[in-house]
Amino acid sequence: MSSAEPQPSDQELVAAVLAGDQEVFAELVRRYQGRLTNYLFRMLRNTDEAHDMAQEVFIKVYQALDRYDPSYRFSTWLFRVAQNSAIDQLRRRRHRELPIEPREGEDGEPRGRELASSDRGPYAHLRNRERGQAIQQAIDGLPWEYRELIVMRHFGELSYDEIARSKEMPLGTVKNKLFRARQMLKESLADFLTD
Amino acid sequence: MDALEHDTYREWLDPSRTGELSAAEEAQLSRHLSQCASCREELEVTTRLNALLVSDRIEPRADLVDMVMARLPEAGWQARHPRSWLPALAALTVIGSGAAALLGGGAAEIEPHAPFLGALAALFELFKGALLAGAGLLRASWHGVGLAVGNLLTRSWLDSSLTVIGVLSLDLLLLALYRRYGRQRRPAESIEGRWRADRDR
Repeated sequence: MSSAEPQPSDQELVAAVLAGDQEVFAELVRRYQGRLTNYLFRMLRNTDEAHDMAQEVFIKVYQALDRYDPSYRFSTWLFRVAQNSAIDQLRRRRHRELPIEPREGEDGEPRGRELASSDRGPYAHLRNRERGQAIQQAIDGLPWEYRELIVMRHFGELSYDEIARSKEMPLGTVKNKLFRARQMLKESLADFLTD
Repeated sequence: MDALEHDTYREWLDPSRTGELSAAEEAQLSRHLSQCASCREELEVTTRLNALLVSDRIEPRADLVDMVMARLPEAGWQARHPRSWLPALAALTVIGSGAAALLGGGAAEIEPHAPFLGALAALFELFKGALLAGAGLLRASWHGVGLAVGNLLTRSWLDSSLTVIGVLSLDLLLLALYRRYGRQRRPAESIEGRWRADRDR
């Protein structure tokens, strides 16, 4: 008897929260915490800010939960809130005249950064750091629009359809732009893509 | 030969990875890959790129769920939730019952034989008085507008023109001030520009 219970959909979880079961919201946070944190990290280029903003976004979404339209995917709505929050944060940074760069620790790595990769040891750490910097530079080198789409797709793990809805773009345009963006990344990261 | 360009098939490689192609597209891609070495190579590189990006993901904070749940505020929608109306409804019932009892008691003194009818009559008089007062105010305000327009029409053309010009100038001034100091939404491009400048620094 190992049949896994079917997971409730996001819409069902939202309905349960709105019906008064606040604890169910934790399941939504669990489902999206990884994707949201990574999306925000790539948008803000700062680990601490990404972690803090992930909290803020979940709280904002909770506060506005009754305005969620279940005919759309929950993830589309969540990432739209996250995108607006990230852009607001970038604007605030601009007003404070701070550079839009990661605040780095002494080792050149963004503070508190813990990679999902399981590579350990001094050589692996160096390699991870070098690779992380190259990836960030390659993403930063993309035009803004491509960059947004790459971050949504590869770090927010959104489907093409979700990205198209979120950006209000035709599906074909999203596919084409993401293809071009990936071609640019392949060129920039060619050294890391060989055997 | 395939009817589609290589680039179209290459565009399909990533959506195929996450099962986002239609069955027909998937079959077409599979057929093409079996015949085209350069697109197979492209698939290889696309897979490596995806793995490279995945390897650079960060872990969310271990206590993120607990922190969010501890900080969940009283959301506005909770106050609008039907269950939250129950205490308010109960309070309204108590206050209404008290008011009815007081009104009934007072009406009993006026109309000893039918206190309930006396209370209804008192309420009716109350609403009637409010309606009459409202109608009187409306009539007075329309009368005021009529007087102002009449005054304007009976004045000389010069006076009327000066008044109209004065009002229009005031409107234009307010519009100019709003445009100059009003809140303006900054386009996303300005962030992009900042991003580029920062990157190139």
